[in-house]
Amino acid sequence: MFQGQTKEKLNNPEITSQVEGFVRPLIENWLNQNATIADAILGRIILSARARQASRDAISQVKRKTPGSRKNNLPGKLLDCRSNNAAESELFIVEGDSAGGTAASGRNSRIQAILPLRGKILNTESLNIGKAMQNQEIQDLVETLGTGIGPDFDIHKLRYERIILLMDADSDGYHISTLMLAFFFRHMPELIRQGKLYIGQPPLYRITSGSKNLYALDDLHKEEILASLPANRKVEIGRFKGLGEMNASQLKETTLDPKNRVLLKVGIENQVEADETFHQLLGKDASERYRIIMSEAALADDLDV
Amino acid sequence: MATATQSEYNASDIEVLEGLEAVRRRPSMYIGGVDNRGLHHLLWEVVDNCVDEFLAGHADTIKVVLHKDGTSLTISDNGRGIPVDKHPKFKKKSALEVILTTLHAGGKFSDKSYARSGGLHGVGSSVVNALSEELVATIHRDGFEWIQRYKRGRPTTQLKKVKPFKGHGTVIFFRPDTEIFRRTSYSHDTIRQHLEDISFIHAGLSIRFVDEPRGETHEFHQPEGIKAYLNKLTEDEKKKPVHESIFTAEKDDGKLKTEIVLRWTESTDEQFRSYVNGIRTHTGGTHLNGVRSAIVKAIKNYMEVHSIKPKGVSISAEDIREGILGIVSLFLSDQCFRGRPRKN
Repeated sequence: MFQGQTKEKLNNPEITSQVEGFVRPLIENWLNQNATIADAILGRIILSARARQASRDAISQVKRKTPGSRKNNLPGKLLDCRSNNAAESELFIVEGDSAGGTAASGRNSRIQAILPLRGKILNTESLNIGKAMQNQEIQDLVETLGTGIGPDFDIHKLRYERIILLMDADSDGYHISTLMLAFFFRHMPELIRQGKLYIGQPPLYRITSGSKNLYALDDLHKEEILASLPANRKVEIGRFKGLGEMNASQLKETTLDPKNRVLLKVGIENQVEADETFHQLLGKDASERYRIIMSEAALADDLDV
Repeated sequence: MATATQSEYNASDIEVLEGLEAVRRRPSMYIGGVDNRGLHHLLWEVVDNCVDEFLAGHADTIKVVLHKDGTSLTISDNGRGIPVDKHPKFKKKSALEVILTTLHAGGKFSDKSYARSGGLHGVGSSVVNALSEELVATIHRDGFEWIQRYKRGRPTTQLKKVKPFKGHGTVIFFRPDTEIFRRTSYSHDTIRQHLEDISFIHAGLSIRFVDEPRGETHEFHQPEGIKAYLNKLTEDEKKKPVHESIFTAEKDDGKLKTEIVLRWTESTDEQFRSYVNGIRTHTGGTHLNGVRSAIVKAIKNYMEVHSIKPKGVSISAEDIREGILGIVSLFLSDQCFRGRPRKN
């Protein structure tokens, strides 16, 4: 019995024991008859057990660093919000200290926290949790979120209702967003599944017409706004090269304030495709990456991750 | 849609129209979405029907042509050809028309003609038809070529006997409906990958893919089946094998055919591809669960029998399966499918 009309999963319960009963003795036979292979496999398994043990140790170390009153153990560069109520708080992850500064003055400090990242975060696509946790930025992020990571991950300990990635609308910003998404997808997928992760949409253009200031998210939006303005009025168009170019009140008005801002909610539309895409984009194989970038540039915008 | 033949409609005809109208109104229920994936799903449905002819022992060649426009396709096989004689239940219609215009109609639902089948029990053809701006069915059988044209699930011509023809097979041309799909251009890589997958799962089947926009032709034929597939995956994913010679198991008791290949690699993830009747089961299921637990139990037992006790660590199921690369392919007979009601 396939589940769903598009047949993603086999549900016949009797199959499990049939398959298991058939294949288990064959594997044992095969190991017994191929001692060299069996040795190699057992060696491999014991190695992974030791590596897993090492990861577990690394994770519990991070946990031990945050006992009792959690607030005092938060990373130094986090500008936390005053509220202790997770349901009303949100965390903005921003690129660089300068954008962090602007965001800090533009935010509502009661409910909005800012975590500035320094440069590009570590590519965690091919790393296990233990390795990823050796990186300071990743450690800071995990401590800020409060959830723990790996087998200890607990969504109920998340300190914010929304986690919002706020990056420049340029290629560096896209790259950092991709690295961040890959981190959450690989190591905290539950956060995405629970709909806690968002991408902020800072405007790309400011359009000044008379005393009115209007902001456009992209070229299409800019054209729409221009078309809606009276034809004879003088119009000035400015392009923001990054978040740092906006002043605090502009950033607040366009991007931070829940009343006006646009957020994209991150979801996993297709686990398998998302998995492959991250693997191709951030995995170890550079030729694969080149291939996808050259041939699928147009398709990439379709993936909803 | 009022037509001159409206007075001839009877109750069963109306039911048929409602059926395909439902597909057009809620396409996602039938093809999983109207995104890029749903678009490709149309093609997979048609290809699955060809594969079913292969599984039934009547076809060994499938050809898929992506036309110059990048959106319309022609899929042909050298199987028996969909029957063109009058359907016993719908007296005025050919079996072909019933299959292409009726939900849940098809040889696979009620007949003995398919022992194992991967298609959506005949839902496939009519769903593809309903979601296509244009569909042309060309049938070679009984010494003739027959043609019928459709638009958005409804016939626009009668079934015509065109000319004498030697040989047999089914040729389906379709163009996805731009009213349904946001984007209607097919991806070369997705099609190539899928067809290659199929050729590995169905050892002995020959598939030709002609990409007209690119001017390329690809041939897929894998007599070694999933063994060759495993080697290819190891190489493609740049995984370093822990052992060269792979584990293989195969069994066919008439009702259930099981094929399994396994290899441990130095990669840190566990990767399985599982299939039922040649259809990839992306989220696994009970067949894969069986294999995964068999691996763990076999290894644990082997360690116990040979008194292998590593110091300072305990071995978990994840440790045992880390780095494993496996392919599990099951073929279930129809009887097996009908045995239990759908769970959800």
